Formats: sequence, structure tokens, C-alpha cells
Amino acid sequence: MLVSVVRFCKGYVDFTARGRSPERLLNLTAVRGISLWNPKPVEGGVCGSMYASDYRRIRPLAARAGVAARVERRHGLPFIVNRYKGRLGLPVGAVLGAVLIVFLSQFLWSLRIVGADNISERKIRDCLADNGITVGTRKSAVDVDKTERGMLLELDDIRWLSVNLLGCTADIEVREKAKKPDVMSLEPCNIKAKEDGVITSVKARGGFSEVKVGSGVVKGDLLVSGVKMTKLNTPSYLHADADVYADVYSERELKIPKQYDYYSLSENTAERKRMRLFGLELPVTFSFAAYDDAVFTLREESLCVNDTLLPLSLLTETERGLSRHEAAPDREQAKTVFRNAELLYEAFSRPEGTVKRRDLTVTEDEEGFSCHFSCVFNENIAEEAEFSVTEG
Amino acid sequence: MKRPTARIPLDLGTAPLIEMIGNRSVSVEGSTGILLYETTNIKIGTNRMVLSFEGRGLGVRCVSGSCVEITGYVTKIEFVS
Repeated sequence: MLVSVVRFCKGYVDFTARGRSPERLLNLTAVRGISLWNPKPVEGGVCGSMYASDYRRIRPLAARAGVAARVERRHGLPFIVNRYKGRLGLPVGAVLGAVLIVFLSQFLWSLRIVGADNISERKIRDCLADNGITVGTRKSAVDVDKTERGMLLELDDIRWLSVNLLGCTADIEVREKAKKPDVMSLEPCNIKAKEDGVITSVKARGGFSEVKVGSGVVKGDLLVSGVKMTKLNTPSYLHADADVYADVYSERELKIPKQYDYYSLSENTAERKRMRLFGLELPVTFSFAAYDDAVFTLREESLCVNDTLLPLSLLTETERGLSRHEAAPDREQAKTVFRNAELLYEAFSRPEGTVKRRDLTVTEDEEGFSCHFSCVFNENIAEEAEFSVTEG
Repeated sequence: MKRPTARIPLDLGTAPLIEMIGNRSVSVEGSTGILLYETTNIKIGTNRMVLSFEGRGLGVRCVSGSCVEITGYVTKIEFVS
């Protein structure tokens, strides 16, 4: 391999020597220390390869051996350079290219964040930007220690952080803080009702039930006690733990006007593209359409070659116009709206409760439609209430 | 009692040194030049004799002032005085 590189750099020729005594040419070159490789017999002579500089020396030797040497093919850098000698642009371009590579190597081309599973990558990038690391930052201007300290102070969810500059990529390695495990408290406590209701089941794992199935309770009532009197008439305290299910009555009032306005996405769309290179944004496409009411979306696609993120990205900003509509629902439509609103309330506000009964009453007045919604949920109303014990 | 073997003194000062790896490669040290170069026959001159190698696909891999390396399928070696 190394020999091939040396031969390429020095330049070599394939030649054929035909004549009276081609073997003598081999002997003469060998005696004079001329390097000749791949000598092969051909009809009436030999062929082989030698350095271009040596080939000039064998002309008198060929004459002595009575052979005529002829170059068949030229190889190597000197011949390539010679071929492009008249074209000044090529060496100038090569030099400029080399200078450009050296210049661009002094900047950060991409940031790679590793280990951020629960923390937003955007948040880390913003924090990095605050501490002086963005795409396009000069590498010599990056103070790694200062950045690490600053980021650890700013981001509470991070336990350890390391900034490694590898070529033109800044590898940000992050270790998140371990979440505090939920340790079950063993402090003495009672179980109290967190809502009014009628008890349907009591499952006490610790403590002594103070209510029975069918009992009515109000918010704050003692459901399961963590205090027990011993035979010596002294209190003993324990951690009460229970699931107490009760039918809980819930009422809600909802209103909608008879006429109201709302916005929806229209078909009007305008798209603008920008190219971002080292933080510099250049417009690629133009769109002069503008809407009074609009929403925007921004999408960024970065150029990636061999898993290396290049500092060239295409930003696509889409503007979608909003159209304003007037709605004047009738009674049935209003009922559907109320019904949907209530279903959303049940699904998201009381996800653990089971609906046992629901009533929806829609009334109409001059202002609009009102809905009285009553519902009975069966849910766990147990709530721990710790108390302090002072030993005397 | 074992008697020491009588040794014949040899004058190898100008004799060629031939090293063979099977019949595929021959290295001749002490050559004075290649006399014939064909794919079936290569003759190498030394101080005392001419070495003739016959075979198939013969070729000279390396030539220097006093050393020649031949590769190929050698079938016959002849010492011509």
C-alpha cells in the first residue's frame, strides 16, 4: 500500500523494450540500481514499469542493449499535475477549498443531546444558547466548564452534564435526576371523606371502620379511624389505609348563548420557506398572502449526512387562515353541545368515577340555553388525614 | 566409539546460492545477469555456470545487481557448465 502511494507520488511509466537483447537491458538496469518492477516477457522483448525519473536514464542503456524502449502508459501525480498545468483555476480552487474547510472547522455545526429522556430537548437547546453554545458558535469561544456550571444551575432536573466538542459536533451528555420514590407513609393517620356521599363499600386495610354501607357522610367525616383504645384504656395509633366507595351527587350548570361566533381553519394556506445556514436565515420562496386571522406552523428539516447533522436546514412556515362563523344552535343542537361537554368532564375531570345515573335538563331563555346537569358518580372518597401524637 | 565424519572442503565463495520454495519460487543469489527471459525458460548466468529454469508461466519478480527472484511453475532445473 505504502509502496503504491510512493509510486503514485513520484510518477511511473509502463514501458515495452523490443529489440536484439532485452535481457541485457534488465541486467544493465539492475546493475545501476534502477528500480524496475513487473518485468514480463513479450514477443520480441520485455515490458515492465519504472519510475518516470529512471526512465530517462535507461535510454542510453537501451541503446547499448540494442532495444527500443517505448512508453505504453503514464501513471502518477506528476503526470496529472502536468495535464492541468495550464488551468490556474484548479489549484486556486483546491487551495480555496482547503482554506474553506479549515475555516469552517472552527465552528460548531451541530449539537447532539444524549440522555434527555424526560427533559425537553428544546429546553436544553435554549439553555445552551443562553450559555453561549449554538450552531455556528466559534469553537474557541466555548468555555466548556462555565457552560456546564451554568446549565446545572439553570436546569433543576439535571444531575450531571458534560459538554464534549468532537470535531464540529458538540455532544451534550445529560443525566437526569432520579425521581423521588413514593414511600408509603407509616405515620398515624385517619381516613376522612373528601366529598359528601352515601357509602357503598368499605375496604379497610389498616385502621377501624367508623361507617357502614348505606351511611351518609359529609366532607371531612371520619371514615376509618387510626386510633384504638387498648384493654388498659390507653390509645394506640396506627396508619389507617382504606378504599371507601360512595355515591357522590354532582351538579353542574352550563350555558351557551343563542348566537355566538367561532373560528375554524379555512382552505387558505400560504407557505414560506427559508434556508438556515449557521444561524443565518435566507428566504427560499416568497408568499405575500396575509390573513387577518391565522395560525402558524413551523417545520425544520436539517440536512444529515452519515449521521452527521450539517448546519444547513430548511424552515417551512405554513400560515393557515382562520374563517369566522356565526352559530345559532336550536334546542337539539344545544343539547348535543351540552352532552359532549359533560362527557369530556366525566372523562378528564373524574376519570376514576363510575357514572351510576345522569340527568340533563335543557332550558331556554332570552339570553340562550342553560343546562342543569346532575350526575351520580361512584368513586373512592377516602382521604388520608395525618394527626400528630405527643407522648407525655 | 563413533568416528568423526570426514568433511570435504568446498569452495563456495563464488558459487550461486539457490533458495527454492517448492517449485513455485526460486531465489538465486550471486547472479551475473539474465541471459534468456521467456515464460517457459529463464537462464541466469553466474560466475561458474548457467542456471536454466524450465516450466510454465515463469516470470522474474525482482532483479537487483546480484539477485534474481523467479516465480512460476518450475518443472526442470539445469546446470550448464
